Amino acid sequence: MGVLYFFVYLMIMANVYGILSLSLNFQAGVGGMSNFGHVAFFCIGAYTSTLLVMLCHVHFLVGILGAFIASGLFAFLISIPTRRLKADYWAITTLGAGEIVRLFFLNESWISTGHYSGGPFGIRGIPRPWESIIPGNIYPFFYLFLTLLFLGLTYFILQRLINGPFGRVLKAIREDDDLPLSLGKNIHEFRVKTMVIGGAFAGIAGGLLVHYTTYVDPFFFMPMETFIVWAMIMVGGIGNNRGALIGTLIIQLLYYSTRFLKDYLPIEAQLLASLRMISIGILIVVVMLFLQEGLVKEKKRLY
Amino acid sequence: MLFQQIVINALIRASELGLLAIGLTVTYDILKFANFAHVEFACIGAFLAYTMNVTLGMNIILAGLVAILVVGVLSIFIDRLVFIRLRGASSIALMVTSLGLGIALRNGVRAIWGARIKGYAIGLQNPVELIGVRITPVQIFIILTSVISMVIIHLILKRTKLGKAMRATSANPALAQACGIHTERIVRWVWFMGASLAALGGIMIGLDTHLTPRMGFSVMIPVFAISILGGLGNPYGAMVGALILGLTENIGLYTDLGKILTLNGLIGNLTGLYIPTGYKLAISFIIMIVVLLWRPSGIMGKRER
Amino acid sequence: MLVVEDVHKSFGAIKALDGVSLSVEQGTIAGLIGPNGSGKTTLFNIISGFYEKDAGNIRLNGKSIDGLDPFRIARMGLVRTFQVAKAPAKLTILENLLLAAKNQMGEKVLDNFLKPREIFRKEKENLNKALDIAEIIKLKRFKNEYAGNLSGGQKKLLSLGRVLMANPDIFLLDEPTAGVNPVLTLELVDVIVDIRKNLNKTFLIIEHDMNVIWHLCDLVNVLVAGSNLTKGRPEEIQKDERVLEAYLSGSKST
Ligand SMILES: Nc1ncnc2c1ncn2[C@@H]1O[C@H](COP(=O)(O)OP(=O)(O)OP(=O)(O)O)[C@@H](O)[C@H]1O
Ligand SMILES: [Mg+2]
Repeated sequence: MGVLYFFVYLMIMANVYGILSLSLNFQAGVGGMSNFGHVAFFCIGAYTSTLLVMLCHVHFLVGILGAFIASGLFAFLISIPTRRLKADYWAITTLGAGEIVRLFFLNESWISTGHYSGGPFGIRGIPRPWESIIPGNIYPFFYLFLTLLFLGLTYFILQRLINGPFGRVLKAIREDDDLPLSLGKNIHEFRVKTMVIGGAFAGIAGGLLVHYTTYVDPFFFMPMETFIVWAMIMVGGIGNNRGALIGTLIIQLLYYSTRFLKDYLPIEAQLLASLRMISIGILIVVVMLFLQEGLVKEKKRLY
Repeated sequence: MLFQQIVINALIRASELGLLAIGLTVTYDILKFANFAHVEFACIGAFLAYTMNVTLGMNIILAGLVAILVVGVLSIFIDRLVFIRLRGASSIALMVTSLGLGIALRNGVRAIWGARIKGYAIGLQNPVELIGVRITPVQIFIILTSVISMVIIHLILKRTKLGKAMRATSANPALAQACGIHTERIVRWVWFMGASLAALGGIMIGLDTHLTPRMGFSVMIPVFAISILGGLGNPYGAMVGALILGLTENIGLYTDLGKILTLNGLIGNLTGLYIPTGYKLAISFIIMIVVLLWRPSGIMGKRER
Repeated sequence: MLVVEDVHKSFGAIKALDGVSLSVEQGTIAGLIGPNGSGKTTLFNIISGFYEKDAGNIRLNGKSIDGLDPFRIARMGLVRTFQVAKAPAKLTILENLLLAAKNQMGEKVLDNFLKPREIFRKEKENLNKALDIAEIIKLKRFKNEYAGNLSGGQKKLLSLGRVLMANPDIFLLDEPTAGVNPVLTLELVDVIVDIRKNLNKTFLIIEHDMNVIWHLCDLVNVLVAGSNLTKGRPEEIQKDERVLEAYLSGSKST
């Protein structure tokens, strides 16, 4: 029984990270934008939904909508400089922006829901949606279904955009600015839209995460989270959604299953944690060197 | 805090980060990508020196020198293993690779040395007082070392064949190659130089404060801010950038901005306005953003096109 | 239609353009020739908004297009090709052609979900047009091939296909037939003549292949070292001693 529940938990997390990797894939894989601060949207979504639901007492779905909008707005903000900055400068900026967002929630402890909450203490007691009408033993399955629904929605929307004229322009921009410009495409507008859409969906992932854990603190949103999502899309195959999802599953299983190795191996928890991260890092490098297209190649659109 | 003290503290910070930033900037100049693993060389250097100094009981200066050399060689090894296969790859590919590498190196340090805070065996530092400024002997040593290193860098860049070849390679690798410059050798030298400067900076940070596996990563944004401030690829810019960043951080955190804004009470009354120390990182970030938007090639860089 | 007046442009010490003027009438085909490095491509880059000029005026249909972003100029009906053909490697030939179609509803995010049917219909229309064009540029066999796998000459053809798909009022073609085999070149020349005749479109063409120029152009502008040497009907230019001389001595007058 315990194993089953653990597996369900794992899949819920895989769905949450699936949304993250689909949204990052949209920006980085299809649009070619080196966003190294994806965790910022995740974080803003998590806190927005938490605060809306706990302080304004709105429904979970409204909280998620709020997360969607707030993260989208933040994405709009950080995509403005793309007009002027070279790709590597912009990459550094996004990395910094991710950390600043985390610092904000770490330092602004007035953003809280009562005593001993906010700032580094985090926020506890975030309500789970529809908890009162769903029996506890099947709740995890329900939440699994709920997250799957959101993942499906994300997939459907992004896939439609990627497969149509919008995605065509993005793929052209990914390689070179001049050609789309010469054909009358407002590439800056496309970039901003891409960031906003990706950011907004990442916000949903944040909301979904904390309404299940019922707890949030700024340490959920270390820069490493962004890098893990990058590993997911690199392993699965950058530029295509199915690849991103497969990569998510692989990394998720690798990352979570190895967490329990300490029960079976004579190895310290600290050391094990380091080794898991090392393997993520090496995996990224190895994929970049030997498997640039990832496990699943970008699919050709045939007519 | 006394103004002199703020300046000295800024100078110390600039000495430490400046070395890292110069290293980053010279590698960027030749390799043309933002190396997110660069700061990890600082961390590795600091910990190697720690092992030799504390575990093996070596003199700290000797330990530091050996660590710097080892890190330099390590960086060449990494280049041969990883980056040589990615010459001419897109900047996004290079950045992602360096990110992965950075994660592996950072956690490698944690796996080997553990996450606990460590310090060098240099004894308790008693601050001396000069013109109302408190400074420890080690901090004086840091400033001197940094200044001497920068002079050496200057001489290498301006007075040696290597420096000339580096500039030629930076401006036009194909042309440099055609003129008989062995560009791959230059690349190796540049890795060596950049990484060992980072290691030196890391050791300085370790001397001034302490060592943790995150010590490199936590100065990544400031180091990039400095390099961008000075114009990526410009080592002299990085020196100036380090000073500006050090001053901004220390003025921002330790002077009463209320007094400054109201010209010491001349206009209005506002006191006790400090930037919370939790936002120290934000200062670098804001500097970076302002510079990037206002002058993307840095205050000392050539204007683009 | 297109009027260029006294345009100057320097790159550091190099004066790429030193007071160039030309005008292209609606429905005509104008040629732009000159030795290597005489500033032809630079002029294209300035007209299409990719480079800023140092001085001068450019008007399109009587409206100044100074300082406009390249995409805005393209939307005003002026589309150019690049001397070094561009072809996004991970888009197929058909996608490359479809990319060029203007006013695509599917490029608007919300319309993808609000008006999926209309977008589908529009895509279908564009697709048929793209297939026709693929036929013209002899790339129909490769329609689902990645553009990255094309040869240099084929990429040149693809660029031409894309402007045909974009269907602007005025075409700026930078060496459209360089690297294209002679037989196909003749066919393309016919295509251009047809478009001009049937659709009353305007062309400005850079070309080193003089046969193409003599065949196509109503008026030929000659640039040397960043200034106008002369202009005239092909027959006149053909006979002009100075033009031949300029080509023989290169452009090393600066
Ligand atoms: N971006 C640039 N930076 C510096 N110099 C440039 C740039 N673009 C063009 N030039 C210079 O301007 C001059 C004109 O170049 P341009 O490409 O316009 O020549 P062209 O007439 O198109 O030649 P070709 O027939 O060989 O294509 C050349 O000396 C070239 O080196
Ligand atoms: Mg040219």
